[in-house]
Amino acid sequence: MKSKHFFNMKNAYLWLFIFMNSLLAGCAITWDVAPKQTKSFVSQPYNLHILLVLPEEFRNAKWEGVNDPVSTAVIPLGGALISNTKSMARALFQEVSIGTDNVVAANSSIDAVLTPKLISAERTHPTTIFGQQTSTIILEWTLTDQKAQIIWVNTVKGQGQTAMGLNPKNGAEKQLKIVFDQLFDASYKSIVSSVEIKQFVEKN
Amino acid sequence: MRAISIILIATMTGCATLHLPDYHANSFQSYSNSIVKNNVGVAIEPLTDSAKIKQYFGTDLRTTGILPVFMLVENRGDRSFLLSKEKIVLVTDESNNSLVENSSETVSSTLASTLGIMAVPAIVVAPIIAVPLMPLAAKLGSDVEEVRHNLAVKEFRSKTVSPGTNAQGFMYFSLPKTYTTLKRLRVQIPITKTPGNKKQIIEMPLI
Repeated sequence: MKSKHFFNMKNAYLWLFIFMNSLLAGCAITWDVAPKQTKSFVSQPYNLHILLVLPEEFRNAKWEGVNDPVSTAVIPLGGALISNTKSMARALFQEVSIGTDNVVAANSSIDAVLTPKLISAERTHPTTIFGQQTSTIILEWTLTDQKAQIIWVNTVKGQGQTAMGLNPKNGAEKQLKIVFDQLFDASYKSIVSSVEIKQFVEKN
Repeated sequence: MRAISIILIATMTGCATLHLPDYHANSFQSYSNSIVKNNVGVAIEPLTDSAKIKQYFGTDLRTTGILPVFMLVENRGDRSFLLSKEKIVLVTDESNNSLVENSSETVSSTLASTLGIMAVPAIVVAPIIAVPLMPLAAKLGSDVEEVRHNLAVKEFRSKTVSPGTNAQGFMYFSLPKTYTTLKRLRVQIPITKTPGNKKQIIEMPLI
């Protein structure tokens, strides 16, 4: 016999779903999924003492976006960006000092200043768990001389794609592993092969 | 329950994730609007056709006042130069005043509101009413994320262009809604030769 009431056991799962959604509404979940392991780089140092500037915006970088229709997810990126940046810089330059602003004292032994800037951190969100999800991080690298004149600038991209699957957190972790590999491979190659940096080193 | 199932199936129709193709640059010679000055080649192509804009950006950006302009810059000389994305502007023929700068951040926020990202908070407010509409909201949210991601990936970026190499990508100009013609607009592209920091401005008509 057909029930006349909408509030019956037949609809229990629907009401449970609605109740759970109401509890989750507006929640922000933090996923600590950026790669823990810092990449290792082949040491090919330029004969330069650089100041590696890690601005606050870069140190606190994060991705924030939709997790599901009722909650958002936050992925901190700053820690992994900093550890990989330091590791890469130490492989590429003879001496690396770390700072938070690009002011170089006149009597300093620093030859150049390397500054990374997070341009973009974006993730797509497929409609279903079967869809492909893409994460992309874009970084801009600037190398300036002691007088803040630009020697070289380049913008590099790292992009990772996996199926979103039933566990979006796992997907995010896999994507970010690919993203960071690509991002720092591209950054390393770009600095190693830069004609402008080579010319600066020769002149210095 | 049957009614809800029907609504769910109906709203699921067309829920496939939006996929936007890459935009491949043509050879420099194939662009009708190009210039070579002091060994710097610049070709630009504003996308004005709605169908083409939708194909590459998932939505007609022109309806929100955004003009996507593809730019290809070649270094044909023996010295590198710096191209700074933030310094590339559109100017009017008459005044030579800067009309619009380019900014993907502005474009993203404009698009987010236009494409209906507000559908997601609406569900939070009224979960009971919104349950049948969830697939639709998910589709809208998914499209917004895809469009934003695609805008960032296709955007022209600052770069030092070494001899024999090029830089390419889309600039997004936010045009005033009152501006209906592109004929009197010119693109200003400042370049800085390195080393030495000698500056030069390349200016050319938008169309």
